[in-house]
Amino acid sequence: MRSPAFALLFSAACGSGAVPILVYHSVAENGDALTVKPALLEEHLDYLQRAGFTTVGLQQVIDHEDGRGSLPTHPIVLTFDDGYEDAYSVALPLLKARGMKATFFLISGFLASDAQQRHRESGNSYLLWQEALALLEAGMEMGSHTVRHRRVTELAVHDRRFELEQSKKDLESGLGQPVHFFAYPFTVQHFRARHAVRTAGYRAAVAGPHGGGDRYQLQRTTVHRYTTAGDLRDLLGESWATAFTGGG
Amino acid sequence: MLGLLLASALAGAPAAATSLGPAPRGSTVLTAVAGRPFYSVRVDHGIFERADVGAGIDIASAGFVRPMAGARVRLLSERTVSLALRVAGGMTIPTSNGGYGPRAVVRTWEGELGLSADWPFAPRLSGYVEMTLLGQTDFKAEHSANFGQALAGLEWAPGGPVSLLARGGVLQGSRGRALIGNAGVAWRF
Repeated sequence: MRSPAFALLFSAACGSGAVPILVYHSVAENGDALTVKPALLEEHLDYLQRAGFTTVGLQQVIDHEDGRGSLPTHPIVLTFDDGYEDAYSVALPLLKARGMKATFFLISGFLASDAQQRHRESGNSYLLWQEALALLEAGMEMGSHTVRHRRVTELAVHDRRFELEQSKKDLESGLGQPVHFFAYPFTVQHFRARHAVRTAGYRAAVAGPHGGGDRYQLQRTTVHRYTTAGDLRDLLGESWATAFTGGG
Repeated sequence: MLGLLLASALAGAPAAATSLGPAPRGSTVLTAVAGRPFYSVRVDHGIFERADVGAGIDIASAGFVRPMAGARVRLLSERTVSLALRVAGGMTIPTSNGGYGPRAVVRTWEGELGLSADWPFAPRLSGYVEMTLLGQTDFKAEHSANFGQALAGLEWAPGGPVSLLARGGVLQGSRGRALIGNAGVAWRF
């Protein structure tokens, strides 16, 4: 059991994000611990709607931070990492049915042009370019998740730069619009990685539960297969002071 | 009878700024204030000439209570100004979903570290400023945060063991800031 003294030190080291950001991965009946069943995603989305949250994109959050534009009263960002095929076939219809939006972080090297060439790896199928475009046309936001889903903290400087810059370039070319946001694969990052993301021209980047502090390590809450709607409510809870200084 | 008691109390010597800093050894101060974000009641007891210990409870209409315990140490007294360090710890216990929207207030450990200065600038009036660091956690990254707080206040001691307090300031966190303030009464016995 950690002591309250540790708690103070721990809390001093952590930031607290303004807008909650959830991270989902695959949405399917079967899969690993990070694969959420479609029925569970529906429960989560219904809960968020019922509770009064409004889904926004990262662009809105960062614009608001920069003093451009506003946010709804109870904003939340939904993110989906890796660009699995079910982002298009399962998550998109559920989001559209509720008028919600999400940010999808795509691995540019895994996007294929036709169904025959669809990238498959470890039992997972990844998006096609036309499916990614359909997500975009449906009002979803796109971000980069590197070229090959490699841990940016373990790469040599030139490899890291390639993963960050090439994926941005490929996605911008394929989607026909700027890509401003990045998600660290496996949510791992460090100072040099954050610096490289900034240098590559991204406006912000999302990390994992231990993010926080600045816009290149925005904290995200991981949702997994066993996260119930009740768990989600607890995870989205906040300290009184965070709520109080957030303007109520 | 009550009038006599009150008159007797008010006839005593004017209070020093002991409600703002550590209570002198052997004395006890009961303080009750109302305001935002809390309504608070606390008792402090001087265990040394320069240090006291205390406990109290903060109650918020937003749906939580916060029992806290702590200590204050007078670091130095220079002519009329004195400097004190305050440490406190406790826990936020939600009592309802509260008024902060869909994000429920969660149970967190709380810690405060404050540095305050007080000075009596009139016979019955003292001023007070405090800078405080606040930390909160439930050992989950999602619910760990730190804040800074700046407060300034006044204590008016009309006579006897009772004095009136008023404080105002700002609580600053990563999401923004909020005004805080309270007023109340302190009773030394």
